Formats: sequence, C-alpha cells, structure tokens
Amino acid sequence: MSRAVAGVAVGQTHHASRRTDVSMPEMIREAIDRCLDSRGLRIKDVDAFVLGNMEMFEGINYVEQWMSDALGLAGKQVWKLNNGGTVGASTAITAYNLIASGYHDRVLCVGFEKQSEGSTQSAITTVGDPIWERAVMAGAIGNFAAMTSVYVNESGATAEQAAKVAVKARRNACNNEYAHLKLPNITVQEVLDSDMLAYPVRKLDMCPSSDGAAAVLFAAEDDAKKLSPRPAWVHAAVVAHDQQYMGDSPKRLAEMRSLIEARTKAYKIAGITDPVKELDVAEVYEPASYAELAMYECLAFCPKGGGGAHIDAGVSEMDGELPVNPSGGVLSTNPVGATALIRVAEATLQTMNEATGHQVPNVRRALATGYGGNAWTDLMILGTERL
Amino acid sequence: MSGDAFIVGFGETRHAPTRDDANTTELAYEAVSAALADAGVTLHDVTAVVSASLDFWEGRTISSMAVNEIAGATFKSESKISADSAQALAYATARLKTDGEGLIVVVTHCKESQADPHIIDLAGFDPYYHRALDPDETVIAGFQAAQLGYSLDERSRVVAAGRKNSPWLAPLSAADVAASPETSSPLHALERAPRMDGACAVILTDGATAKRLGRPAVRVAGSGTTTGSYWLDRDLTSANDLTVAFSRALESAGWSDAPDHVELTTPYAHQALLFARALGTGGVEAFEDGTISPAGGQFAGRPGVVAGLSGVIYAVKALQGTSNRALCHGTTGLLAQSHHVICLEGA
Amino acid sequence: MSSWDTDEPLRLPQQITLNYRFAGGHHASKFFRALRGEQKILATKCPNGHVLLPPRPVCGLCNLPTNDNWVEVGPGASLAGYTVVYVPFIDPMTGVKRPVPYGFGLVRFDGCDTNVYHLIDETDPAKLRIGLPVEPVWKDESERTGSFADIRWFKPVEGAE
Ligand SMILES: [Zn+2]
Repeated sequence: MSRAVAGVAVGQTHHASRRTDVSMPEMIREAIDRCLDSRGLRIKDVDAFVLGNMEMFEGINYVEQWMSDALGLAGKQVWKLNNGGTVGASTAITAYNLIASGYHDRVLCVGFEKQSEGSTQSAITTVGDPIWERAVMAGAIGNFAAMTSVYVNESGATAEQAAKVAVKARRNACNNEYAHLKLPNITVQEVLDSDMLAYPVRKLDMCPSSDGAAAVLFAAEDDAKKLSPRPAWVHAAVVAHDQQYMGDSPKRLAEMRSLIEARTKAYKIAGITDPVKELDVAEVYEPASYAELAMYECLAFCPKGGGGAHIDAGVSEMDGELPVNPSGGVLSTNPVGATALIRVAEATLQTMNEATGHQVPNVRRALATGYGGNAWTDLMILGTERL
Repeated sequence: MSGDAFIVGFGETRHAPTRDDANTTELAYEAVSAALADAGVTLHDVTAVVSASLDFWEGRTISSMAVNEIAGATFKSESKISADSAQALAYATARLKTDGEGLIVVVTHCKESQADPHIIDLAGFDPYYHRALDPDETVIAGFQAAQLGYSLDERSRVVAAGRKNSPWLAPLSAADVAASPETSSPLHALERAPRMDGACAVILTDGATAKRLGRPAVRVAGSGTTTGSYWLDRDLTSANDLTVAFSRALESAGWSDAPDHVELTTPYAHQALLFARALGTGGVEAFEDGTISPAGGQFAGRPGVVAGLSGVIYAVKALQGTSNRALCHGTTGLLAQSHHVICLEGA
Repeated sequence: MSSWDTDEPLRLPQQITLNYRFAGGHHASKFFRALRGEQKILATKCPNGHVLLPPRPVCGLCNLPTNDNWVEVGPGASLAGYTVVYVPFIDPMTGVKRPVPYGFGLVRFDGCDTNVYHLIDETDPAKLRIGLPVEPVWKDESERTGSFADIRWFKPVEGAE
C-alpha cells in the first residue's frame, strides 16, 4: 500500500551562538546546499519542501513566504510547520507521510532558528496557554527544573550521574564538525561547580541557545536507492501527545507518557523487543542532562529508575552497547526549529555510514526523537533494511 | 475505494466578529463535537488529528496545543499545518493514505478579534527593507487593485454577492461597500473581508469505514499547492501561482478538466475578480449568479485560515448524494502569496 | 569604535510589540470570577471522576466531555515538583525582571488530579520536598485581576515537615 521512504541526504550549518555573518535565509541556504550538493542535486530536482521554525522567536510572520525567493522556493510546493522543539522531527514525519502516500516523490525538510535574533526567553512564555499558564511562568529552565525534581525524587538519580551526561555530550561534540558547544576537557566536577540556574539544574546541565539550520532529503523506493548508496529507510514514524496543559502529566519527566506511548508503538511497528540490542545508535532530544537519564527509562533502554545506573555503566557512551547522541546532542547544539531535525539528520547519517568523525560502527538501525511543547513526542526509527 | 479518503462529517461554529463566549479551545470543540456528531462517531474513534492555525494570529507559539485534547489527540498524533486549512485537509489525506485506514479530525480555528491586524501584517513584511515603512497589507492591496483597474462598482458587487447568502452576517449592498471609507486608494474599507472568529472541522476516513458509517461521503480526489514570490515588485496582476496550484490539483485528482463548482477564498474583492478571470470563469456576474464561489468565501464571514476548510464544508453539503465535483481554494500569506486547492467528488 | 566603522556584519535592532485581547470564554470566565471574587478554585470533573485543572470541555484521559460538571478543589495543596530559580527572567507579562532567587513548583490542589505551576514562597531547596503541604497566599482584593497571579504564591503550611 504505502511506499517505502528513506532519508538519502543531509546538510547542516556550523551552529553557533550568533551567526552574524549570515542572514537567516543565507544561513538556511548553507544547510540546503550542503544537503543537495552531497548528491549532486539542485532545488529543481526536489518536488516539495517542508519547513519548520518558531516564527514568534524571530518575530517573522509567514516566515516561509518571506524567504520563498531567497531559498529558491517561489513557484514550489511548500509546507510550513511550527510546533516547538518537536518541529524538526515533525517536518521529517510529514515528509514521510507525503511520500509514503504517493503524494510527493522527493521532499526536502528544512529546520532553522536564529535564536540570537529574537528574545527566546520571552518567546518561550508564548508557548504557555494565554489564559491559564502565562501569568506565573518561569521560563524554560524553571519549568524544566521543577519537572526534574520529580524525576530525581522517583529515580534517585544523582547530580554526578546527570553531569556524566553533560560531559559525554560536550566531548562527543568535539568529533562533530558542525556542533556548537565543544568542550574537550570538561569534567564531571566542572559541571557540578557550574552556576546553579534552577535547583537542581546547573549551567552545564542545560542546552545552549544556537543559530543554525539543518536539511534532510527524503525519497521513495528505487529513487532513494539511486540517490544514496545506503539509504536510511523509515521503519517507524510516530507522533504522540500528552493532555493539554503543562501540569497535566502527573510525573512529568519521571514518566513521560507521550514518549512511552510513542516508543511502544514504534517498537511494535519495527519489531523491536530489546532496544539496547536491536538499535545501534540513538539521537534523543535531551534539553538537559537529567532529561537524557529519564529518556533512557522511557525508551526502555534500562528499567524504570535505572537511568543513573545506565550512564554509570557506560552503555550510552560512544564505545557502549547503544551510544546515545554521538553528535553531542541538544546539550551541544540547540537551534530550536532545527534541533529535532538534527536528531533525524544524525540518525540518517549514522544509518548511511556518513557521520564523519562520530560514526558508530555497523549501524543497522537508528532511533531519533523530538520533544517539545506540552510533552509532545515525535519518534522515528531508521534502518539499512528496506521494509 | 481502497487508499481513498472520504469526508463523512463536518462541523462549523457560529462565526462572528467576536466570540468572547468561547476561548480558542472551546471554539474549536464546538466545531469538532458538531463534526463528530454529524459523522456518527465519538472522540474514541479518532485515530489522528491534523490542525491548521497561525501562531501570530493566535498569539501563541505552537498554537495547536489549544486543541489537541478536545480533538481526541491525547496519546495520539496531532500535526499542525501553519497555513490555510485547505492545506491541512491535503496533509490529512496523505496521512490517511499512508496508514491505509483511520479516522482523522481536521480542525482549524482563528480568532481574528484577539490580535491587532496591523501588527500581524507588519510582522509578515521583510524585516530589512519593508518594515521601517510601517506597512500593512491594505497598502499593497491598494497597489494591486490600482494596477488591476477593476471598477469600484465591480469590486463592490463581488463583496455584496459574497455576503448575500452568509449564515453569519447581515447582507450588505454594493452601495454600502462603495460608500465605506477609503483605506488605501482605490480601496474602500468593506472591500476587505470582515475579521471574524470561528472554527470548523471535518471527519476524514477510509472507504471501508465510510461505508460502515453509512453517511453521505465526499471523496477528497486530489489537491495542489503553490507558494509564490514574496517581493512586492512581483507582477501583482498575475495569477500564475494560482493557475499552477489548480493544475497541480487537477493532475493529482486525474481530472482532465475543471468542474463547474469552484470556491475561491480571497480577502480582497479585486483578487477574487483577478483569480476568476485567470480561471476563465467570468467576471462580476459570475459571482452574482453563483457560478463561482457560491459560498461567498471570506466575504460571507469566514475567518482567515479557517476559510479554506469552511469552503470545503459548503461544497461537501452541495456534493452529498451526487456524483458531482468541486474545487475549493484557500490562501496563505500577504496578498494571497500561497494557494491551496482541493478537489472533491461526491461518492 | 562602533560597528559602522568596521567591516563587521551589522546587527540591526528592531522591536515589535504584540498586543492581544484573549476571550475568557465559558470555563475561564466562571473560574476567574470565583477565583478573584471568592478565592475559590473550581475544576471540571469528567464522568469517570478525573478532576481537571485548568477546567476544560474534554478529559483527554477518557476522551469524554466534562459537561460543565464543576467541583471545588483546595485551597489546601501539596508540592508535586519544585525548584528554586537563580537566573534572572524578564517576565514578558509585566516587562519586569523577577527578583532572584524565587521558589517555583508544581502544585497539586487537594481533590485534584492534575498539577499547576506556581510560585513558592521559599528559596531554600532543602526546605522543599515533594508532598510538602502548601497553601495559597492571596493578593489583596484591589490587586486581583482575574488571573492565576491573583494567588501571590504558595507558602509551606506552618509546622509541616
Ligand atoms: Zn477522565
């Protein structure tokens, strides 16, 4: 019925706190050009484009319309999404559905954000419900830290264990040409000594704020095989929500209901029963160190309450049984509208065996997640085998 | 019928200039619950949700978070399209075909009363070269109208024709439109469609489920979209992007010719005339005798963003129980920069 | 030296002020009237008994309408999650920088099945814990505007450990 779809090409910018050397469209062109150039393609060879961005962050309404000339999209078929941290992965899942259904053949996903050009802290408040949630918000960090306390209380995860995640990410980033925050000599002690932003979350536990863009090209069936020597076939593409308001999920991080729902569905579709053995690499959307520990649990990489022990055992390190975020993850690079697409891009690169500098050997199956808004999960599983 | 997508229910709010009696969540639920009831299903039967809304109009980043729970998306999938709702219906159709089966709620909402239209427009202009002039859409719409040269009489009559059968607003005469204050020469205030609050929803499902539900079904036969050039020195008298979107839609539906029933959705009267001419469907008389846009488009009181799907609902009502076809249109962006077209067929 | 005198790329500041006037609608109008006027916390209850705050038309857990079925919850409450925030944050609702540190947490009203975020009147994390009984401290009537901020913050109940 539906067609086999694969990620076949990836491009991203050099991510940084401020990309003042380029305008937003110029920055996006870097990612698009790297993606298409890698396969000798031009814009005219692509059927449709799915763009993801948080337009209120930079204050540009109809942002995809404004850039249509600069990106070469005038006259093209363009889809625009904006749904917070998840949006990048949502562009990929949208592309998957548009291609699998036979509606389009080749779709280019583009995620982008120039956080330096807007006021992210203020813009984050606009994520809250205007009537119910905004009056007493405390920015992304306060919200996140309150969730973290629930996880710490339930799991017993320690600050040291969280710090290990922070160290892993910044060291892995050193092997990724495009990553933003690279700290080759970072230590657990340094994380524990960094400024407390909101108890128990310290500065080095949190993701940075980045400018950057990413692009991933998806194609169908034999066309995908023609475009990439080793296409990253979509094995599962699942979206799951929680209830409407931020306080609805009783255990928040400790029991991320949408992530548990999404992984349960995706593992079933992909026939995965033992994810640590059957997946070869994961790129997860971890906005903070503690979140990655919680995600190990919600993704069933370890038993409930075992997130801390999982990092202690080194399972998620580059040389572990299931490396998590070889790219350096969100903790190293966070251009919001691109962040979740970077997860999909990295999973695609790993599956295609093209993750230069941070390739995990012999990847046959990779997992990517996006997380944002009110506990909204996007999850994809990619693999070398055409299903 | 396998692999096809059918509209088996629809619901629409009482659109009004302000709907202070309902916040966004409640307004959307009014449409969703009506659509579910119309299809004879409940929230339990929903397999996925596709929504359409714009963050700037909603004053909220990730505006769809207001509607996922009331549309049945808790622990399920909701996808939001930031464009006119006709494009959301196109995506829902693709999503249904990928899964092969399911029951999708397509919901769209906009409260034009809650934002300042000038600032929303301003935020859509190029931040480097245009914003310093503090423009809004009316200024460039005036440019466009001047270049097109339709008479005030023709433009006013298009508005009056659109308003004639409005379920939500009192009729307006062409003389009323012509007598309204000039906004940006040659435009008069009432040539711009009214700002409205409203929501609507349709239930989309596969052939087997449609048959089981036993409701009059209308097939989404195809769709097409085109994003145009932004720069305002583009040829504002051209409707090329619209005709491209229409031909893409016809091709995707496998139709060799366009049906008689065409619903156009534009915020300005002169654009309606431009697009009707480009489609070869006639001038102002065609609007007056209902040959084109019998629903009345945005002039009848359909809010922006909601307009495309609301036009679809009008066409679905007309197609139920027939084997007729219809084309429905929606636009996104300043001066109708993008076009979205849906092909419908009575089943 | 300003950037105009160099070859460095320019940064061009620009401010857009977005103003909105949101409709309260049915649930919020009822809720905020009771909150502002009587210091009562009203929640909606689904047919299966889930008590939901903010009040809403549909319970997502059951996919059932709540049918305007209201119950009063609180004012007693407990902490379901907490933090102490040390980073300055310009509150976009007021434009004023919120003094740090301040307590912030997830509050569960007695009788309610969901949590709401709110400010906590305690800046020592060692004195906060999950399950700690807290109670609302109300703003004076003249300061109350019909918003969750009509509760100034929650303070730990005296003598609670
Ligand atoms: Zn319930």
